[in-house]
Amino acid sequence: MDCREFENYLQDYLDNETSSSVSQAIEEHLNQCTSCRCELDAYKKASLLVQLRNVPQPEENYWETTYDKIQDEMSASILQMSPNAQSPEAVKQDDGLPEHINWPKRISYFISIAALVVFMITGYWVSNEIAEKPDEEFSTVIVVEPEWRVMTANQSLYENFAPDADFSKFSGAAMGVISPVSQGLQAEAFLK
Amino acid sequence: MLNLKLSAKDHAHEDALEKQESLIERAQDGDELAYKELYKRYCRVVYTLAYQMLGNHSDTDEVVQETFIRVFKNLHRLRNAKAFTSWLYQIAINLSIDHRKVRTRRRMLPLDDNPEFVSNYELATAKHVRNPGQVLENKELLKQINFAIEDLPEQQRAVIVMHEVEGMSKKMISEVLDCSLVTVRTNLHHARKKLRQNLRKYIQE
Ligand SMILES: [Zn+2]
Repeated sequence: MDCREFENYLQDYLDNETSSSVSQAIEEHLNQCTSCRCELDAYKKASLLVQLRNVPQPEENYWETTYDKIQDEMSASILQMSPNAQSPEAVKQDDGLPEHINWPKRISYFISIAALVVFMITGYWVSNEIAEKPDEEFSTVIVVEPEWRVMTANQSLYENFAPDADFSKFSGAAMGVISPVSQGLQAEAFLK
Repeated sequence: MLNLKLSAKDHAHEDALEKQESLIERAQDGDELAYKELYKRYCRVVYTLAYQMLGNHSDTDEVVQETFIRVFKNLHRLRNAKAFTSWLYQIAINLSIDHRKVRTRRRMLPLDDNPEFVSNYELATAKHVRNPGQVLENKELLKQINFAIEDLPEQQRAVIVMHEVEGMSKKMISEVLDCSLVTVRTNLHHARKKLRQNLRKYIQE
């Protein structure tokens, strides 16, 4: 084995993913070659440094107060998720959108989202897998952002797409959560 | 709703051997004690993952809360209880990535390098470091490690944190990030190269 070959195998060797014959060849090379040995050491040291970066743990009562906050937020959002929350005003109060928002653009986003919601409802009714009661209310809380991500809860389907994208690809969304790629804007569509 | 406190008593009563899956099923049926138990089992690992991604307590705190809110709200849609852990990590990692993007845009909240953090850090190193012989003494070095990790693109950073720090397998990481094993490997290799480069000052003999 020469230095160039070693370099090709270096990462796999670090992960113990080289075959025993390759590992043996690597070790023979390392015995004779100082520079490759240093190179391997450098990677090992960098990895050790990263592992040494420790996470300071918060105080013990942090976990309990955080759990209480999560519960508060959950009960608040149950109220928020009532069908009344669908009105644009209800959405507007906590969207935190910047002042310079482009209204025509925003309206076009809303149209797209309406199409998505319609699609999702259709997907919901069509899907035979879902054994939820048909009389359950569908409610949404949506604010629009140019990039969207679809996450399904049953299997991990993840996509980024623009609001005017072809939503027919995303039938999985009928069972999942839609959230904007960026945080700070509360934007989720739920089937309930 | 708020009478569920995490107390030492609960620990004594908790059935440590309770199967993960039956716990998740109970939570899916709306059992609040099961929610609490899931939170207790996973809050620390979620905190650690998010902290590794974000580098400060305040952002991490927000991501921890948001992660569990999403998990609890959507748990009833999880079809395969065995997929719970990777689903939970997926939410935590993706929220961290999103949170970082917002932070970058606003140029706020740098990494923790305040005195409190450093002293906590020193306390923590003594207890948690994998190689106790190699405790970090140099605060400047700690800062540089933070910068080096912060400097990585999100995907690389997520992969290196999960693989090198949390010791997760590439298979698990590919499930969490919903990408192929090849992508995980590529990101890991790029991240290692970059870290090796950025930390070269501290690596050379
Ligand atoms: Zn060589």
